[in-house]
Amino acid sequence: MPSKRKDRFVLALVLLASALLLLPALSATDGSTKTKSDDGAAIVSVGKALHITDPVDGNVQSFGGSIEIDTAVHGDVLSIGGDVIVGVEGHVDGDLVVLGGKVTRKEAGAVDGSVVQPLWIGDALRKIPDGSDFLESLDRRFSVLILALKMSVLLVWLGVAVILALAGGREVRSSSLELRANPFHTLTVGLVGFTSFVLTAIVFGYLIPYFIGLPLLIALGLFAVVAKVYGMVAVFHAVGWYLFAPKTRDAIERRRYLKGDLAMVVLGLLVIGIVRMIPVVGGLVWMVASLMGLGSALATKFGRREPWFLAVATTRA
Amino acid sequence: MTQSECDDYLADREANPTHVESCDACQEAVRKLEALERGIAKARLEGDGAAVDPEALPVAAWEGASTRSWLAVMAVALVVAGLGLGGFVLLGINPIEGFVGALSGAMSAGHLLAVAKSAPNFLASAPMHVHAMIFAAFVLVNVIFVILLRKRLRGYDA
Repeated sequence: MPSKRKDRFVLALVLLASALLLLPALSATDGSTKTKSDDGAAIVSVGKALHITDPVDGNVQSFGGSIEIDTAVHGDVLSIGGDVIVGVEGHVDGDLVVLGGKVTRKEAGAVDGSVVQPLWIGDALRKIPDGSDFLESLDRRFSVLILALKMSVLLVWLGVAVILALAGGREVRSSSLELRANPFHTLTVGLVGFTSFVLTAIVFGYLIPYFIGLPLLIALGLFAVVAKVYGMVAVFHAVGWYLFAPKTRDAIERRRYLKGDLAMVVLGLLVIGIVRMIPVVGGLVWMVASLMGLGSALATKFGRREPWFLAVATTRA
Repeated sequence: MTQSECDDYLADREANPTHVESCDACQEAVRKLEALERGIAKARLEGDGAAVDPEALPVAAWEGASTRSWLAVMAVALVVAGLGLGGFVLLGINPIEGFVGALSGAMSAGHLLAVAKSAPNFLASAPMHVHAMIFAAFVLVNVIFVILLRKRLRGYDA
């Protein structure tokens, strides 16, 4: 198939996939609530707001809906994609895990176990002695605390980037080259790849009751993390190369420090790390960089430039 | 004329000069060979003798790439550590505790397992058309993914 027709075909498939993914959100179906699941969860809710007023013996799980607790829950509470409000009369005996939502505790609302919000920067503050005193500063657009927390994470990224640049400099350079030569393609591969990982994880979720699901989920998670980390290092290299690489042989000869894969990676990391500090824009830039990195890692097969799928062509004798 | 005589002649034309006068097949073969040799000589590029100047070629991606600039690494590490740990010191937080706290924001294995194990509950509660959408989207997205992964890379050819 000629290249332009193939591109249009792929675009049509992407639009169709987007429509299919959006349909459940657009359809006028109410969510559902189930009591007593197989693993002992007392209440399981999908797409519905929950208001718990009667005591619950067991766990409460909600997906895509908020939870308001005004009584005792003798178990854990898990909310994905929804806020949790623990009212004055509310009490949670176990842990409160919230992914992609806020936690609000009214005056006397108590949680005996841990409150875990991994996608929220303030979660780190709870682990620091007296860190909760600084929670209010997180509401500001810019704060020294946010800078300190993000730079601490960036320090770990620096260590990982240096190790990868030393161990696989050629591969990182190869992925970085593809990123620079074909940025739109790598972004598209990253976007489609991320969607594929999410959907595959959901499909593996169906297999969890059959024991094979969890190992598959763990393997998928590990692969996704490795691809993301490798991809980000390639993005650092690409940014560093654009801004700081010597463009002539004279410059290569003259320079002592600002040359080489290692220098490009760390300088690119510094630039992206500083851009990430900018409110709103910084987060967007990091997200796009992550997708492009993932795309370049997958498109180049982690820099090896080998095909994932071999096309076998037969020849006539 | 035997095949072996023709083979001997074609292998070494100068050793058997009289063979071609009496063999039409070999005359034809020699005519074709000479035409081929003339064509090759004509197609051969006539250089002016000047060598290609490698300095004029654009810088390749791997030139200077193996240099390990530890000074750059240390400088960046100082800036990042200075901003991060210095920020904690400014706020009166122990920098080590602040650093460890920043990194321990990820979920524990136990909580990750609890989230994973809740997936079958959410799936069981979802309406039937959502299951159909999930499987259809899974197939479609992965087909697109495979098509994109099969696309030729640009990279060095750009």
